[in-house]
Amino acid sequence: MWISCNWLSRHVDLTGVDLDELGQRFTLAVAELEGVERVGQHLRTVVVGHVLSAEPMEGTKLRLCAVNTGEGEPRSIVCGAPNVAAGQRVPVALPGTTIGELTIAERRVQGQLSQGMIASESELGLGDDHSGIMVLEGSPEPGTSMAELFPVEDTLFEIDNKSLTHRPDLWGHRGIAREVAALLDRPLKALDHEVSFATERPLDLQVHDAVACPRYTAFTMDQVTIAPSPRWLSLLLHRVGVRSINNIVDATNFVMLDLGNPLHAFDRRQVHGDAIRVRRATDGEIFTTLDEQDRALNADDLLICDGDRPVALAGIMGGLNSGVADDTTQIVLEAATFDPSVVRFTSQKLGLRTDSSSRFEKSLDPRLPEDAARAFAALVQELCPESTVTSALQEVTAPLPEPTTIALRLDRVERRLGLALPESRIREILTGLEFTLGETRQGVIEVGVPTYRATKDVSIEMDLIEEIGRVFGYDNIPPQPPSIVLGRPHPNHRKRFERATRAYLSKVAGFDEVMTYSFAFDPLLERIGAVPEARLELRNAISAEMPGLRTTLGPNLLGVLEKNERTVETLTVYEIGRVFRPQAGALPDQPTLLGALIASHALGAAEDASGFRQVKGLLVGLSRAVERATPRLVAGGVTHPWAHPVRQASLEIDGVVIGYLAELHPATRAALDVKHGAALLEIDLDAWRASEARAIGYARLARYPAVYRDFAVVVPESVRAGEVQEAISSAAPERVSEVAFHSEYRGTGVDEGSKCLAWSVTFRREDGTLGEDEVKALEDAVWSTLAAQVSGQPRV
Amino acid sequence: MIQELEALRAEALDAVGGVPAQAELRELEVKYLGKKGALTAILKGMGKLSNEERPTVGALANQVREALKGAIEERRAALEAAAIEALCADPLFDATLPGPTPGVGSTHPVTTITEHIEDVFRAMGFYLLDYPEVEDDAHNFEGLNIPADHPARDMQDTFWLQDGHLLRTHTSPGQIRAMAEFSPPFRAIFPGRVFRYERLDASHEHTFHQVEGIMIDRDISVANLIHSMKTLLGAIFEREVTIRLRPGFFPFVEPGFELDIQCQVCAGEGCSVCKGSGWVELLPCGLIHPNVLRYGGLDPDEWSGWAFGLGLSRLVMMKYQIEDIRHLMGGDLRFNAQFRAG
Repeated sequence: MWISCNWLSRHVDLTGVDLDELGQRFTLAVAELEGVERVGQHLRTVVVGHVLSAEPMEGTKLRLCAVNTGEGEPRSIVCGAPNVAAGQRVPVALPGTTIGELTIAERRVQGQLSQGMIASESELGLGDDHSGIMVLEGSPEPGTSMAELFPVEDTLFEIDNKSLTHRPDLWGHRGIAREVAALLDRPLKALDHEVSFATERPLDLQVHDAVACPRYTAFTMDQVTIAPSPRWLSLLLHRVGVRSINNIVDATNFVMLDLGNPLHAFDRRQVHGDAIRVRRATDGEIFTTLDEQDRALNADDLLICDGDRPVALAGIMGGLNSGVADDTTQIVLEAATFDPSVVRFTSQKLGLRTDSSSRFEKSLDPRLPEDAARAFAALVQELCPESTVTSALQEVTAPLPEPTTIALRLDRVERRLGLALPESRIREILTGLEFTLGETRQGVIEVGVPTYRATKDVSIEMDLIEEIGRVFGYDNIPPQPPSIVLGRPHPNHRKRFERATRAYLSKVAGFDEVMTYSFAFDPLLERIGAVPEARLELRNAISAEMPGLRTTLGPNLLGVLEKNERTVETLTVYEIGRVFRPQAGALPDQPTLLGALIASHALGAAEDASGFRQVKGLLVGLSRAVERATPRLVAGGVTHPWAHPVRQASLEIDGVVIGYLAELHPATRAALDVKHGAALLEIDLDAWRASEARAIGYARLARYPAVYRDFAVVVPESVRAGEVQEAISSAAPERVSEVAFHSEYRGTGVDEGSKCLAWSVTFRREDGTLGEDEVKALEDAVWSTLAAQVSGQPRV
Repeated sequence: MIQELEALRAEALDAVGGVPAQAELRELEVKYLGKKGALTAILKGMGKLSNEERPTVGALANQVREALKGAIEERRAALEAAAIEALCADPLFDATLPGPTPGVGSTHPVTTITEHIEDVFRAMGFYLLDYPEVEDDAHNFEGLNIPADHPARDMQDTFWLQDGHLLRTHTSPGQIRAMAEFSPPFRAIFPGRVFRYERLDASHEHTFHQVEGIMIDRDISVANLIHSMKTLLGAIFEREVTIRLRPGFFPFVEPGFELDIQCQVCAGEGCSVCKGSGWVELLPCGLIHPNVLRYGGLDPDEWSGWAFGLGLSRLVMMKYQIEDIRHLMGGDLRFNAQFRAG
């Protein structure tokens, strides 16, 4: 929104005010100015010229003009405009004037000397008309600067509309001027619109929905002449970016931009039966708005109708059927208050945002229509002196809200601002903003809230404290450290657990952390046959591809694999994030999971099962890092369709499944068409964390040396390594202190159908050194147990 | 015997001087000085000598022994030095071959910034809390003084679930949850993922990260807020910062502010980053609205507090000058792998 300082001056005296400084203060006290722009300075060297002659130049469309610019000798100026003619008063840009990118200079045009430029309205930045040169009204003295003739020099403030959403009172110049007056400690000029309302031609007003339209006022005028607006009016509108249409339309816009209440003028001929009905639209009702669009409406929408038909979409836009036309002489003026949510709903639904709708959306003061109606009548009578008001200011209104008063405790001002302000200053500030203040009784002032602030902005004591703070200036409040009560820390175990997980994966295991959406990506799930049965669906998905929340992290990581498939040979990534599971009658269960993915071309061979071992090893290492027991691996039971049917295991803690390890199912790999072999680990970190912490403690160092022996055990292929390990341990539970896997071997020296598993075994006695005979006996016991339990034989 | 000893000395010194390696030197040592060595063999004849001769020969024998021992030690030291020297010489050594680099992974930049901020606040006695991402209307809107017809509740801004819940649009629901969980005075932050119904483009994401902070005590004031923000932001940016507050409207604070930080690039002179203003809008903050305190079970006459919300995704983009917000959630390793700190 643009605010013109010339316009503001109609409400508050800005003489001698540094407008840049004012802009700064406004930003800090009211709303951010996005820009401060000076306009019109370049018109100081544009002067009134009297066209003495305008002779066509042969062979061109140009004319050679002699123009009196008040300097004695007329200037010779070549002009290309079709409308230039002798006798006109025109603006002449003298050499040296800069207009846009162009600096005017004396030069020759088609052999003729041209000593300046006769300019159009748009060239001068005074309007939108660029059809020809600007012809000045009346007979201003040649040589008079345009800057003297019109208030062309102005300073414009640009305000972001979003910063004003909570301030319905700031959607017009008067509201801004009120703030400026308070900041400058200058008086706000009174509104005095002398209008005599009459009673001769009353309207028949009916409002059928008092909630949607709490106040409807209207009056009629006669003997109106539609004409262009005077320069001062069109110029002010132009400055704030509104196109001048004609005097009546401009008057409605001017009052809206001045007082903030949108108005609508109907051609009275088109208001059938002199009747106004405010009602909801019927389902399927079609209405053609001023912009010639057919709008399909329903009972959510509010219409202004005459005796027969709709004539306006309430608070948003008038109808094509009833607007002011060039031959209009009688008008009906509407000044109303509409319910903000009704206007917002319809405006949003139709994608039709107007200056009017954006104001009604803000909860306008229901007392404002009356001021606006008066201001309009007075302005039209100024623009069309022969016009008359032919009705009373008629109204249908719900009871106006009672004036709001708030008890302001002076000590509360000090405690909440953290600053002792004298009562006199508090009073000054609130009075400056047109709050009314009662006597101070026991440190409390009854404060009356102006109606234009009471609609939604100011309703409680804190709102008043804010008013005081912002006008006093937050920059003037010295920062003060809060006094702090010493308390015990509150450790966040979940965050610590997540950090330990991250530290291990990123800094030790070399994984890259990724973040993916909390949504499931259905095209991928469909390809791998994994759309879950139960999940939380969105009412308004951002895309049909992501209609619900994720229940697992695996598929999103597969999406990451797919995305990077072409650029990386090895991918080790993880995500720590929440998944979501419906829970009847409560917030969904939303545990934090870890998902980790190892994918590599090297794992690509079908017979290579080392992917599983890699994620298993990762899990064991991670268990140490997070100080929890390694979950028990239970073969089978992982039902995710992307999990390999055999190379997989569920992860159990205390008999509860909290995750899984799995290589990628060959079918999934085919569906995703990746060269990589891959394995996944997914585990519920919250559940894991809740399990018993790994006991980390000190035990006395062994006093007697251990003895180390390697066992290369040849077993049939069907025997699992775990069984071999178990057999070794069980051979002498008292003496075998560790059985560490060393390697697996097939080939020369090992029969087909068998494999060799090598182990490093540690024997130890707590109470003495193992003798050679004892070690020999232990070795024999191991071998005999291996032979008995797993058909294990020494490798020859 | 004297001649024998002299001959032995000459022969042995000659042999030791020419020996090429430690092993041979050891053999020579045994051969001449060992228990069954040449010197011992000669000295066995000492018994046959007269009493006059014996001391002279004995002295000579000792001289020979010492001379041989010395020569052997000297030779041994020389051989050891030569051996080490040989180990040190490696004219074909290639320092340009790479070594293996274990454990070089990355944390996500949002994680990195979040953890930094968590550390700063924890060091200042703030609780670190985390709260649900799927929320209910009561915590996300109603309790935060956002009325039923507020535009923020529109489907245009909020992801709604079929079951009536929603994806939190900000971390602010944590304010109410924290008030329910702890008795004041306390101070806390709660970072996390938030969601807005928003079409993706280079500067808009429907999923991003924020951190919310609150401090509640008997008389928290605007003056405290200003001081706290300046201190906390100074700690986050690890330098002195200049801030200013502008009025800003958020239903859950009163008064509400937009906090600007003096532009770090131009130090307030005005540049393209701050669009010439010298200030960069950083975060919304304010005193917690009395209705929110009440909803959290606190009496606003007794307690007051400040709150702020800081956009972590935006902070990451500022810090690393990332031009496209979509990279953050994109899972493109060409992006993520750049944050391998090593």
